[in-house]
Amino acid sequence: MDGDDAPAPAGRAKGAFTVTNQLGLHARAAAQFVNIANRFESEIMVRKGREAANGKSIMGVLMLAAAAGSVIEIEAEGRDAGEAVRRIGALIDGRFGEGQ
Amino acid sequence: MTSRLKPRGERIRGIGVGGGIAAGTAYVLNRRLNTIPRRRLRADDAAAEKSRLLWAVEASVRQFDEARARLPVKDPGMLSDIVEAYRMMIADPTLVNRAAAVVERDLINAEWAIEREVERLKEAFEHAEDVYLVERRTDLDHIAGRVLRNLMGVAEPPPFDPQKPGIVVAHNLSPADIVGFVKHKVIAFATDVGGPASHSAILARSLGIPAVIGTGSVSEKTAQGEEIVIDGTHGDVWLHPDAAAREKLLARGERYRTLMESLSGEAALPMKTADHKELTVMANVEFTEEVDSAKRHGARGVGLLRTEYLFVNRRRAPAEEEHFRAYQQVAAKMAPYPVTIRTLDVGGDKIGGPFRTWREPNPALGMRAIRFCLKEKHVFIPQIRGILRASSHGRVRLLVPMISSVEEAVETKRLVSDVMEQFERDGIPYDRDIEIGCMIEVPAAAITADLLAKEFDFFSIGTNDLIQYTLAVDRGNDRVAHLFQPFHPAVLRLIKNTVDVARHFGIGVAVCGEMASAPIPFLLLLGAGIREFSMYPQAIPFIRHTARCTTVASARQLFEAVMEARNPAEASHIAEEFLGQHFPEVCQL
Repeated sequence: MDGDDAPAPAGRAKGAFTVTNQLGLHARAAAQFVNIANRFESEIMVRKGREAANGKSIMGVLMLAAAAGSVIEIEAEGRDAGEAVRRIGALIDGRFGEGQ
Repeated sequence: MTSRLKPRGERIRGIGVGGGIAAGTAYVLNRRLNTIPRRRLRADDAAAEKSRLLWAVEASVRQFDEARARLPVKDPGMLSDIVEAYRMMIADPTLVNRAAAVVERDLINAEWAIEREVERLKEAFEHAEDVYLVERRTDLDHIAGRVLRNLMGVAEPPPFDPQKPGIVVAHNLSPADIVGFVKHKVIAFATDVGGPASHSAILARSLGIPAVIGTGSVSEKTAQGEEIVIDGTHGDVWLHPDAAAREKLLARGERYRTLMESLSGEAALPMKTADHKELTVMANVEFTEEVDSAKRHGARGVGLLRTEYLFVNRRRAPAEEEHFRAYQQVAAKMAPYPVTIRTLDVGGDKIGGPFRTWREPNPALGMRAIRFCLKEKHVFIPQIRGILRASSHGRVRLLVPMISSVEEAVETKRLVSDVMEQFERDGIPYDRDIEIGCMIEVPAAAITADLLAKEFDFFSIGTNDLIQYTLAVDRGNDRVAHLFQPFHPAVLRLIKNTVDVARHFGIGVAVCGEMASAPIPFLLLLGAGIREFSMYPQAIPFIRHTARCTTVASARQLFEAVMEARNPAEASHIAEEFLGQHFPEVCQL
C-alpha cells in the first residue's frame, strides 16, 4: 500500500490481534481473511493458543474457532511478510467491516 | 365487494417475509439426503472414483460462482458474502484432499468419503472453544450437501418447465440452496420452519422475492406441481386457488409493488395515522449490522435487542466485557433513540456449555429466561453489568423476559440495584434513570399487570409467546399449529388488560411480537391502545403506510367490534369486513 516504503527484505513478521467483531471469525469474516492472505507471497500462519492453522485456508482459519474477544497471532514468512501482517491486522481491527 | 378479501382456496398461515405476491407451479424440494450410498471399491477403481470426487467439487464451486454472479446487486442480507464463503470452503483443499485420500486408502466411494470427512471436521469444531458451533456445523452440512447432490445426480431436477416461473416449497432452506434458485426461475418460496431472522428470511430479502416461512406444514400439504400463490405481505400460502382468487391476489400484489416503490423515500418521516396521531416504530434486532438496515427503514429505536446469540453453544457464559461491547455498539449507533435490551431468553438446554447435560422435558415450561438467570446468577450478573455500562453510551432500556410473578420482578430489580451500588462505589458511569421493563408474554403477567406495573417502567407485549402460553399451543407442532390464533378472544382480552393497566399507571406499553408487523393485527393493536411497535426492519415501510391509511378512532372501533367475537374465525371475519368498509386502501394490498 505505502509506495514510499523501501522494499522489505525477505523476513518474518508477527503480530497479535484481538478479534472484536460480534460473530468472531465466522464464515464470512474468515473468507475475507483468507482472501487477503492469498494476495501475499509469504507463508502465513495463524495461531490461537496452542492451535495453529494455515492462514490461506478458510477451513484452517475456521477451525481456530476464534470467537469475539479471542487473541490470534499472525506470523508471516517471506518477501512481503510485514505488509501481510499489517493488512490482515487492519482487517481484524476494522471488525471485518461489520458494524462501526 | 366484500368477497374481495376472501379468495377461494386453502390458506396456510405463516410469517411473510419479502412482501408481495407471486403465483406459480409448486416445486416441493426434498432436501433430505438420508440415504447416502456406501460402496466398497476395488483397488483399480480408486483413481476413477477420485476423479469423480474432484469433478463434483469443481462443479459445486462453479455452481456457487454462477449463483453469486446472478444475485441482485442490492443484497441486504449479505447473501453474496455467505455464498462466497461456502465456495471457498468447498474449494479449500482441506476437505477435498482428505476425502480423496480416504477414497484411495479405505477404498470407499466418494459420497461415503465426503460424509466421513465432514463428520471429522465437525468434530474438530466441537473441540474448539467458545464458538458458534451450530452455525459452523450447519455450514459444513450445507456445503457437503452441495457436493453430494452433484455426486448423486440429484442436483435440482425441476419437475416443472424451467422456463416457467416456479415456487419452491421446502421444509427448510439454507444459503447453499441459492444454487437451485438462480438456476431456475424461482419467483417465491415457502418453508415449514424459520423465523424473521432465519437464513430463509435472509434468502427472501436478498433475492427480493415474496416468501412465507414458519408455516409448520406447507411442504407436506403442497402437491408436487400444483399451482399455488404466495402472499408474502400477509404471510399466507394459497393452495389450489380458483382462477378468480388467483387473479385477485395477483392484482393485490401489483398494487403492493407500486406502493413499495413509492414508499422508499419516506423513512425519514415520522409514523402518523390519518388523524395525525404520532406512533413510535422501532426495530427488532439481533446483530449489530442490522441497526443500519433498521435506521434505513425508518426505525426510531430498537424495541427488542435479542441477546441469545451471545450465549448459545459456548464453553463458558460470555464475560461482562463482551456484553458491554455488543450493547455499546448498538446503543451508540441508534442514539439518540432508545435501545431495548432483552436479557437472556432461553434456558440451559439451549445454551449448552456447562449446562450441556440439562434435559428439559418441556423447555417452554421449564427453567428458562428470567427463571434461569435468577438461578444462575454468575451468568446473569455480567449481562446486567454490560447493559448498565452500555447505558452511558446511548439511551438503553433493560427488558426482562418471561416474568410471571412479582417476586421475580423484585429479585431482578434487587440484582440491578446491587450492580448500580457497585458502580457508584467504583465510579463506573451508567444511566441512573435507566428504564427497566418486563415482557408480558405469560398469561399470569398479563392478568396481574396491575401488580407488575408498580415494579416496572414499561411493558413490552411478546405476542408469540403470549399466544402460545394462553392457548396452550406449540406452533411448531403440525397437529395443533392451526390453533395458534392471534385473534382468539382470550389473547385480545389479555392484551387489552395490559394496555389499560399501563395507561392507568402511566407506564409505557409496546408490542414487539410478530403481530405488530402484519396490517390487520397491527390495526387491532392500535385499536387496543398500543402506540409503540417494534418489528423486523423490512416490515416498517408497509406498516407505516397502513398507519397512514387509518385513524385511531376507527382502529378503536375495529378493536371493539372484534372483541365481541366469540371465536377467532368470527374475529377474522369481522376484521376483514370492517376493513373492507373503512380502509379499502389497506385491503387492496
